[in-house]
Amino acid sequence: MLERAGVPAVSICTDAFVIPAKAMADVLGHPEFQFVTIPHPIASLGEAEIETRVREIVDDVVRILTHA
Amino acid sequence: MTAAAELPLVDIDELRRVIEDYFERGWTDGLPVMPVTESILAEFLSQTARDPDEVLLAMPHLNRACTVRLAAINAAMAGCRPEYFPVVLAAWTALKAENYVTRGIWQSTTGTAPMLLVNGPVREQIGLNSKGNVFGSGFRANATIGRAIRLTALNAFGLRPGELDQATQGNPAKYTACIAENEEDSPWPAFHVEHGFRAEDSTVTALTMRSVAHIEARHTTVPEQLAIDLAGTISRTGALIHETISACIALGPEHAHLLARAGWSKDDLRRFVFEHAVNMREALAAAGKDAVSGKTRWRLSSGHAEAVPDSTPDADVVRALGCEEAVQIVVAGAHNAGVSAVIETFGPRGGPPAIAAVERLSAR
Amino acid sequence: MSHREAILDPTGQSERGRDPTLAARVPGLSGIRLGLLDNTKANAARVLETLADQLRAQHHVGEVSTYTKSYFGTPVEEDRAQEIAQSCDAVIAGVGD
Repeated sequence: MLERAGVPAVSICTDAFVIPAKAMADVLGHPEFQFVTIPHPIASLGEAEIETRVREIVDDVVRILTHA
Repeated sequence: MTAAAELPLVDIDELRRVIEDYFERGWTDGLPVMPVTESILAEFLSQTARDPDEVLLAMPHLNRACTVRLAAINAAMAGCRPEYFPVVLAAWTALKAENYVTRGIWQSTTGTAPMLLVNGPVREQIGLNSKGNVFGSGFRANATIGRAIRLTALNAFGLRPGELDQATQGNPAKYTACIAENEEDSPWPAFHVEHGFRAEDSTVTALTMRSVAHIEARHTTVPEQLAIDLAGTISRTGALIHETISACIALGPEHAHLLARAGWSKDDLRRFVFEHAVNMREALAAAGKDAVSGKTRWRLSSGHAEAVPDSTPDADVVRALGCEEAVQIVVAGAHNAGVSAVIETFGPRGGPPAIAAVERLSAR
Repeated sequence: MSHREAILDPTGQSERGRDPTLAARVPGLSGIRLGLLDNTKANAARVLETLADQLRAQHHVGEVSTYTKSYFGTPVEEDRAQEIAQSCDAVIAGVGD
């Protein structure tokens, strides 16, 4: 939806949801839409663990937003 | 060798090849389907005045829609007879009115499935079971009408497990779930009459179910004791993802008559269950569900960073139901034991149920 | 032996539309207006905010705005997407469970 509106986007999802996330992108007509995955789960994490997981994905997020 | 000559002879290689072909294309729910061609489809479409291209339900977020034609193909594949098709169509109308399906509920980790409730004369006309084994197997109309909805979800909407359906576990109703009310053994007005339809109307009610919890209460003739069992099942903390829950009580006829003999109406039972489906605040705290998320309103611990107080933060006794209307009541099953069930549903946590009339063709 | 007929496709898949073009990427993150789209599930906002903090420190992104999805079960609505597109140069969305 955002890509169609003309803004580059990246979606962060936990690794448990990669397959449905790709399937959604496919039915919406964006089979090459890119995701950054972080290990599942997120809902039960504390501050320090979030900090660590985010540090591991920063480079991927930058890459997807700047290079097609 | 008894009457072998009377059993049909088939071209087994061809039959088997066709059935296997459906499996290879991924067009089944894991069970064999009935092959469907244009002439079979035409028999189904002749059961309705509706346009084959009419969209019954669209899921714009999936870029998919189910037309009358697609619903008919899948109903035939599910094993429905053509005369069941108006019930299938009413089910789609009710599911659309219920409004959970278009919000991605069939894709959810929760793993809900549609549960259909049929009322009125169509039950007799097409042989829908409302008595013994009402949730069980052995009845073509029940089995195939419920399956028609699920096959359509898999085929027309592409909601396949591991792809667009993310259910953590799902539930057995993902194969089929269609019951009829045992109006004949009920001491009260039928469910559809209670909600403003005429007794001679046939209707389908759509529920989004999470589970069917079994109630054993063979021990009592005291209405309050039975109602406490029902309320206690509804209020279990494991069911509380949201602040409150909704449920449909499927009373066995014996239980319905026990209540009616004591002078209870459906509304009396509803009121009692609403008052008694509660948890002590400390029991919720012990399960880490004594507050809600400020964003989703899902229950979580008051110690969580996103926690805000629930609707009744000062109450020591916390209701599991938001209002009396969050409980629906039907009568189903055989009149042979003190057994009932609570169908745990996903909304509406208040407001009327989603009921659609079954179309009657005048020129039949 | 009676006539033969073709099996019918129960998926209706030939009716599906496609729009395979992704939006143009940004040349770099320095100074861009970054949008965060929170799906409202537990900790989603914290992950997105932590990520924005790190992008600010390491890549000097400019203004950061947070948007919240009205319902996590379905994609962001068309008009909402337009609104976000007008006020942001790039968007980060997430996160499930």
